[in-house]
Amino acid sequence: MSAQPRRDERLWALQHKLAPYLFVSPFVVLFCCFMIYPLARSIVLSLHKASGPTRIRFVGLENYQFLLFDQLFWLAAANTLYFAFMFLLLQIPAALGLALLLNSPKLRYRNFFRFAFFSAHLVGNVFVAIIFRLLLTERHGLVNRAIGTVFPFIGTETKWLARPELMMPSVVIAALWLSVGYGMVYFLAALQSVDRELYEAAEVDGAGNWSQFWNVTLPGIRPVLLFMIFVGTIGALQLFELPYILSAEINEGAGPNNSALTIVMYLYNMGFSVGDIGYASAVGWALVVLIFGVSLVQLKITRATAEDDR
Amino acid sequence: MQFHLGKPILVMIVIALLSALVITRRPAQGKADLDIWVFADAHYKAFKPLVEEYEREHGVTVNLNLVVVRAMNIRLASLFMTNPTSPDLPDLVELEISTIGRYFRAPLEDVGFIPLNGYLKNSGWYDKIVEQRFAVWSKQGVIFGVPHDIHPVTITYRDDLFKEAGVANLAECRTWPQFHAACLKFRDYWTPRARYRHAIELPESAIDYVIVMLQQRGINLVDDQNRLYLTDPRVADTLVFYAQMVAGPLKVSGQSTGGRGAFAKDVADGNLCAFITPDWNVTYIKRFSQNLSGKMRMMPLPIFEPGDKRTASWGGTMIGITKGCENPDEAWRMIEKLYFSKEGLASRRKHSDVLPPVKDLWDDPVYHQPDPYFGGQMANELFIELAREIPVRYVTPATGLAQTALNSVLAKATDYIRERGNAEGLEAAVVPWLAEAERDLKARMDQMRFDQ
Amino acid sequence: MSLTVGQAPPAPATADNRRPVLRAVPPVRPERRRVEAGNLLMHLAIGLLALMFLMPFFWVICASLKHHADFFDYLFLPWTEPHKWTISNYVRLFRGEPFLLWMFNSLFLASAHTTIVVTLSSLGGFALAKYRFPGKRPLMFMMLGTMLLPSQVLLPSSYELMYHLGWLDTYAAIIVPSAVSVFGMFLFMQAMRAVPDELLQAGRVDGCSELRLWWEVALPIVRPMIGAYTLLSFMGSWNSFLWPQIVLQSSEHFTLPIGLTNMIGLPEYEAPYGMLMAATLLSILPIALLFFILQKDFIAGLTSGAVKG
Repeated sequence: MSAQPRRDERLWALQHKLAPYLFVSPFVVLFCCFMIYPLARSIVLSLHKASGPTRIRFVGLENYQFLLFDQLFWLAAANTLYFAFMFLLLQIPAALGLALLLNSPKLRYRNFFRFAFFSAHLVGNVFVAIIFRLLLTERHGLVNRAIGTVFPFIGTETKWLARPELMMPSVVIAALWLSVGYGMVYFLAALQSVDRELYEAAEVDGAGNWSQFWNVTLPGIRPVLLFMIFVGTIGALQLFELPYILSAEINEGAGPNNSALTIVMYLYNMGFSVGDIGYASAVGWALVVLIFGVSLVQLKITRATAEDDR
Repeated sequence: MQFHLGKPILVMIVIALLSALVITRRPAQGKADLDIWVFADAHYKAFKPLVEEYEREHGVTVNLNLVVVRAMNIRLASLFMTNPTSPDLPDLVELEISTIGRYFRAPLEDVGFIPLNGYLKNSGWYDKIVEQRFAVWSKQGVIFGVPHDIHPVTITYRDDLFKEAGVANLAECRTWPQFHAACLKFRDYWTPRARYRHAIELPESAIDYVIVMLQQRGINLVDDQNRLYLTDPRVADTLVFYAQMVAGPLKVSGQSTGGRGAFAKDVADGNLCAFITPDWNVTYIKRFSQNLSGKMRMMPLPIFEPGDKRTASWGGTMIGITKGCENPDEAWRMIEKLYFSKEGLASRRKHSDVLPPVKDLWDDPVYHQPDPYFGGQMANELFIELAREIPVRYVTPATGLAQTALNSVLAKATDYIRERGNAEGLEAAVVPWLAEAERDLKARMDQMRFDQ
Repeated sequence: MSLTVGQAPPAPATADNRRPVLRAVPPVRPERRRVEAGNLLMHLAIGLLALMFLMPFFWVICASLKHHADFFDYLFLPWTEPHKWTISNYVRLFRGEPFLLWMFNSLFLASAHTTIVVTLSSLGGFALAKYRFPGKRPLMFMMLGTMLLPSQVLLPSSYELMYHLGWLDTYAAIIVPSAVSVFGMFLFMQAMRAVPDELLQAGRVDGCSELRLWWEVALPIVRPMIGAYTLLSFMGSWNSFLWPQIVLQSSEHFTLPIGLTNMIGLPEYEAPYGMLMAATLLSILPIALLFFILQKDFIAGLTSGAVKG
C-alpha cells in the first residue's frame, strides 16, 4: 500500500475518531434492543400477572409474595442446588484426576486419549439426554446391564428415571459424561503451564507425590480451578434440558414427584405452559438472586482461603 | 484481497449460503382455503391422503401442517387472546388432552374455538358419538372439539404365565382386591424362578393409573365447575390401595421407563405380565411383541365397589375449528371427512388400532373378528363394549396441577409403607396430606386465575 | 499449611546430582519391571476409562443399525447374524421424516449465527481493545453487569418482544437476538490486546482506513481465537433448545434438537428408537467434522483465556 499524503487531513482525523463508535455500534444497538430492554422489561413484567404476551395486569409485589411461599419453586430450587453441588463435587475431581493421568510424561497416545474424553462435549445436551434416556432404562439399558454384570446382587432393575431419589443422580451421570472431558482439557492446559522448575525444586526438597500435588500443582492451577468452579456453578444452576428430556414422559418433564423440576424448568412451565410470563419473570429474578448469592459465597470462601495461605 | 476472517468463517459463509439456497428453494406454502395443524406424526400420515382426496372432491386447497406441540400451545393461546379472528390462526387444529386445559382458562365467550353443539346436533353426529366423550372437550356444556378417540382401557395379561402360577383365569377377578390377591399368588410362584418377573406394570411414582382408578369410581380431581375432590374419602382409599400394590410387602408391580419400545420388550420377555392397556397401545404391543401371539388375553378393569365402571380413558385428541376460520362450514365438512367417514376409518386403521368415537363405525367387520393375538378373543368387541360405558372425564386448567398434587401424596404414601414395612395407619395419615395438598392447590389456582 | 517449598530445609548437596546420576546408570532390573508394570497399569486404566467414555457413541452407532424389534434383544449388534443389521432406519429418516429439512435449518441458523457473531464481536472487541473513546467505560460496565445474569431471565420478556415484532416462527427471532454476545466481545477484546500499537500506527501512516486496519492488521493476529470462537458459537447455536422451542412452531422451521425431541415425549406418538438413534448420530456428525477441522485452534483458544486469566 502506498502513502497518500494529499488526502484531506481533517476528514481523515474524523474517520479515526468515529471508527470505534462505528465498530461497536452494531453491537450496541443489538445489545440495547435484545438485552437491556428485555432486562428492564422483565422487571416490569414481574410486577404483573399475565396471560400470554398481550394481557397483563399490574399486581405489584404479589408475584414475589407468592413465590416466597411457593412450595414448587422451593422444591425446584432445592433440586437445582442439589444437582449443582453433586455435579461439581464429582466433576472437578474427576476432570482434575484425568488431567493428572494424562499429564504423566510416560503416557503415550496422549492426543487420542484427550480426544476420547473430550468428544462427549461435542454432543449437545438434548442429544445426550435422548441417548441416556435409553441407556438408563431398567433391565435393558446399557448402564443397568453393566451394573447387573459387574454386581449381580444389585441386578439390572435400578430405576434411574422412575425413583425420585435417583432422578438427579441420573442427570448428574449424563452431565458428567458430557463435561468431565471438557474440564480435563482446561486442567491439562493449566498443568502444562505450571513451572517445571517448581517440581524439580520440590523433588530436591524430598517432597512426595502428594506433597508435590498439594504444594506445587494445586497453587499452580488455582486460577483455572476457581474459574471451573465459578463457571460450573453458574452453568449448573441453569440446568434445564437434561432433566426435561430424560423424564420427558413423566410428569411433563418434571419427573417422578417433581424430582427433576429445576428453576429454569419451573420458569418455562409458568411462562409458557401456564402462560403467565409475569410470574415467570419473577421466577427468573429469583434465579438471578440465587446465582448472585451463591457466587458471592464462593467469592468469600476463596478470599478466605487465599488469606489462609499467606 | 485475502479473507482475513480465515478459513473457519469462510466455511461458515459457504454453509450459510448453500443452506439458505436450499431453504429458499423450498416451495413456499401459499395461503390455502383450509389450514390444518396437527401435532402427531401418525395423524399427519393418516390425514395426508384424505386431505388430498378432499381437495380433489371439493375443489379447495388445504394445507396440512405438522407442528410442535409445546410451541404450538404458546402461539395458539396468545393468538386467541389478542386477536381471535387473526388470519395467522389455522382453521382447524388438533389438540392433546394434556394441553386442552389452558384454552379453557378464558371465560366461555373468549375461548378461541367455535362452539360445535349446533353442527353436531344438526348433522346428527351428536347422537352417533359416545356422549361422555364430549365432556373432555367442553366447558360448561359448550363443546369446542370433536373427539378423535375414546381410548378405553383394559388389562392385557400373559395368560400362559398366570396359568403356570396357578391363576386359572385372571379375568375372573371382578374386584381390585381379588386382582391383587391373584397377582400376589403370581408373585409368590415366580419370584424364586424368574428374578425380574412382575405381575403387573404399575409405576410407583407416576399418577396416571391412580387417575384411571379414580375415573372408574366416577371421580375427577377437578370437575367442570372447578370443584376439588382431593379430600373425597374414596381418593384416600384408592391411593392407599395403589400404594400397597407398588411398594412394601404386598408389592406386585414393576415398571418400565425409556418409552414404549422398552415397555414392549419387557412384555415380550415376560417381565411385565399384565398392564393397563388403552387401545393405542395395542398397535404397539402387537407389532413389537409378535412372539406372544396367542399367549395374551384381555379383561376389563376390576372394580372397587358395585356401580364402578369397568374401564376408564387414557389420553386423547380432539379437533376444533378456531374463530379465525373464515368458512366454518367447509371446515366442518373436512372434520367429517377426517373423523367420521369410512375412508377416514380405513386410513386410521393403517396406522393404529384406535377406536373411533363414532358408534356407527363400530359395525365394521374388522371390529368383530376373533383376534389370534389374544387367543381368538374378540378383543375389539371388548373395547367397544367398554367404550359404551366410558366414565365422564373433565379437563380443566387446574387438572394438571391437581394430578401433580396427588402425585406428591402418593410419593409420601409409598415412603411411609417402605419405612414401616406395612401400610398400617396409612389411611389415617393420607387424609391430612390430601387436605394439605388441596389447600395448596386452591392457592395455586387463585394465583393462576386471570380475570380482568 | 504445613509445608511449602520455601520452608523446606535446604537440600543436601548430593541430592542435586541424584537425578542425572539415576538416568545415566542403567536401573536395577526388578525396579525397572515395576516401573514398566506401573506404566502398563496406567495405560490400562486410562484405556478402560476412555472405553467407558466412548461406549455411548459405539452403542448409538449399533442402535441405529438395528431393527426396532431387535433393539433391546441385542445389547450392541447381533454380531453373528449380519442379516439382522439394517440401514432401514436411515432410509426412513430421509424418506419418511422431515429430517433433511431440519438438518438444513440447523445448518443455516448455526452458520449464519456464527458468521454474524464472530464478525460483530471481533469488530467490537477491536474497538474496545485498541481505542480510547468517551462512553467506553459505561458500555463495558454495562456489559460486565450482564455477564453474570442467567440468560433465562430474559425469556419471558424476549418472547413478548418477539411477539410484538411479529417474529414468532421466523428465523429472525433466532438469529438477531443471538447476534449479541458479551462473552464474544470480551474474548476478542482480550485477544486484540496482543495486536501491537506500532503496527496500527504504521498502517495509519501508510493511509489505511481504520476498517482496513481491523481487517488486514488485527484479524490475522487473532486468527486462532476466530477458530476457537467459530466452533464455540456454532456448537452453541446447533445445540440450543429452549429459545428455539419457544419461538419456532411449524415443522418446516424446526432445528434438529426441536425436531428430535418432538419424536419422543407423548407415549401415544413415539418414533421407533433405531430411527431416533440414527437421527441423533447424524445430528452429532457436523459438529464432530467441524471439530476435526478446527481442533488445533480450538484447544488453544478454549484454554488460553482461562489459563492466563
